[in-house]
Amino acid sequence: MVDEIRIQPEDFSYADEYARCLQAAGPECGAVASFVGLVRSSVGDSDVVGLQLEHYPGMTEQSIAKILAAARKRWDLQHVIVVHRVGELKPNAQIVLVVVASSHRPDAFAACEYVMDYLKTEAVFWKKELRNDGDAWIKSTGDDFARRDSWVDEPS
Amino acid sequence: MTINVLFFASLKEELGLESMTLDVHDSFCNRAELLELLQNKLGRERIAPLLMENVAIAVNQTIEKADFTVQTGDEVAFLPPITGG
Repeated sequence: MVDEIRIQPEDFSYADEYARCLQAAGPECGAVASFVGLVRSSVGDSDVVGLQLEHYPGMTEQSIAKILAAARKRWDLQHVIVVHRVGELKPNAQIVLVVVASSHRPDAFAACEYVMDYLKTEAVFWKKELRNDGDAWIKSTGDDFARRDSWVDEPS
Repeated sequence: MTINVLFFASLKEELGLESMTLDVHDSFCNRAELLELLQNKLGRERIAPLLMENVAIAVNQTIEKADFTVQTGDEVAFLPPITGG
């Protein structure tokens, strides 16, 4: 079954996506790992009133497909779902969901974290924080790149 | 021939423009040539954000690091550094 990548303004249901993943993974599935990212309500001393997310339709999906293809080379995965929201999101809103199904727990855990670390640096999105002290386009942090690069030398 | 030029995120805001069509004289086009054509249309001051080194160009959704060619109807996008998901 082909992995699912969806970019949408609408919210998603964790329970529904989990059920979809289980069904697509099939009877050999032994482990499902997942991650949900939320909009934080503050950054440093500033209150965040929202997050504006923009993407490049087509190119963004391609950039995520590349990440999933690389994950599939490293680990034995049965199904992967990535849902990413765009548009204007309020604090505590869900932004991103990654669900990974595999026969075994180590593959599911590792692939889920890998996909998220690469999404943070390689996926084609732009984010603007809407803050009480002024709006700001945000950048990937040094920590984001360090987390991504930690996968490079590690044997799979 | 005509190409479609797109601007994303901070560039879209700074230029006050999401997309435009641009007449290109032949099939060869590089970054400098493209910027010159845009400057003729929009003015030097307005295109200043596009001159930043960290601005990438994608032709038909593929990042171009060096010179590139375009054909009529191609989509050429200016991308500020991505933030990731």
